[in-house]
Amino acid sequence: MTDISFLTAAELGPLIKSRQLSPVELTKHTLNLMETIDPILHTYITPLPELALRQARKAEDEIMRGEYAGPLHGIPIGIKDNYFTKGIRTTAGSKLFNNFIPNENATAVDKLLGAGAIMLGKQNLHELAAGSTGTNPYFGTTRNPWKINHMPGGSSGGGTASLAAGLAILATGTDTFGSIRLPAAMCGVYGLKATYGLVSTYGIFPTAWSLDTSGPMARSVTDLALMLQVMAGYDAKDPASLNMPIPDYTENLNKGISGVKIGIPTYYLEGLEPDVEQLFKNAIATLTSLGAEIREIEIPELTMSTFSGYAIVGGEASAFHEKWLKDHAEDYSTDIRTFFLAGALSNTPQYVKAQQARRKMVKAFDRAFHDVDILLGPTIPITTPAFQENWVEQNLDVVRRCMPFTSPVNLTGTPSLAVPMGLDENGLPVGMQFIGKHLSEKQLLQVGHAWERVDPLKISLKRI
Amino acid sequence: MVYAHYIRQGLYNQGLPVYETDIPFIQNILYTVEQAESSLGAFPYLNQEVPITVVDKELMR
Repeated sequence: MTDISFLTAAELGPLIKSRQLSPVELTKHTLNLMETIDPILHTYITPLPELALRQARKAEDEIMRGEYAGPLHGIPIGIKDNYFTKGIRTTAGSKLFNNFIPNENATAVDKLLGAGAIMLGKQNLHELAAGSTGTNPYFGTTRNPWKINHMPGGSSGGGTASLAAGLAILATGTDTFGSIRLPAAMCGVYGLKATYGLVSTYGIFPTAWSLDTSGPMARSVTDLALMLQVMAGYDAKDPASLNMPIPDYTENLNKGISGVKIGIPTYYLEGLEPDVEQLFKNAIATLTSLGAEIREIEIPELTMSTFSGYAIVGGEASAFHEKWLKDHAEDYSTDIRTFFLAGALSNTPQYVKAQQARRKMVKAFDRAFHDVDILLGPTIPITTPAFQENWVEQNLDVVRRCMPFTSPVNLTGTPSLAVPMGLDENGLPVGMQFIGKHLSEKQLLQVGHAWERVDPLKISLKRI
Repeated sequence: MVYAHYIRQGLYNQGLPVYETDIPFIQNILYTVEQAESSLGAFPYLNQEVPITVVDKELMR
């Protein structure tokens, strides 16, 4: 029997559809791994074994009746714990919401469950999706499966660590200033920050309304496409939702990268740690050998990303949390409380200037996409750090280092596909991101799939 | 560097909590923002840009 722990949804789906693999067997297998490994990794806040097995039995019955619903039917999935789940505790990784039980699902959860996915549990995150290390003093700090004294990244670190450890086949993430892509880079998995408004954020705890996105995370690009196919689409309950036809995201996956014009903003070449710089050079050479046309380009407006990111995240998050900050400040971790309080001290002109800078960056990206099809840069400039004793200072430092690399696409509303790029000298994954114009997810996935075929990590996840 | 008394006063004026141990971290973040804000100086015509705001097109048609 094939070891099913690290198969992708695209590999498992045909086995399930042809009844060679039972969703119950697959779910039990994953739950057993969770029971064994998760006390160390802390990727789940609320495991849901009984519900998962009920859903798996239902899926199995449906499939046995010939009612196969599609590629996610019977596939176990982890749901980030800032997505509302009806009747199930939803904490957002915060002590404040320790007992919060929503009375409805997030739209994205409804869609995934409607497609037949099996919910394994609610996954750990950096508190309130507002930090980058995965540290969580209330629900347990998530650890990186590649080296457990290293951080998984955040905020969707529970999801990416679970994928790397075989504790979920798919996972959901949210990305406000890097929360899908940063942990994907640190855990060696794939994550897609979708175009703003493509995937509904209704029923997801806000971090910063004008930047928040939700999206898929997986162990392969094909799996991202399969998930996005289900998650994308208009939602009248989300005022930012785009009302447009959804393309077939898997259609072009095998079309390769030949002739694709890739621009590397020189902005993304500054401040790289040596291992990141070397791996990125190697990646450029490989992409060139695959037929991509690559050149450096200048987008000076990106230098305003850090200011705009801080001013907007800080301003919007502190507005949302003002009441709780006043009444329950002690229920925030120090890193998040100080981040939000600093936001409260930013002034209104700063917020408005940040939004002006943002429009200028949108125009700059539009200009760049007249010349190239895709932009490319390292996901983050640093290798994955080991946990430090001063975790408050460490989180603020990781945010400061990574915000310039992750926030541009949030500010411009453009999609970004995070892929593994290779391993650093400590054997930890390093990532890069393909950035596309608005609603270019189909092309991004095509390019990402071509890259995935070079097997950038050169090691099976089950070896770690 | 942003002065600690400015932070204390600013939080107090808004009815927000003041923890002395938070002050150095808030100073650190505000310093990062202050440094980053200087990048705007390279774009003297920023006021030609209308700020992006969250506009509900359904509601405001």
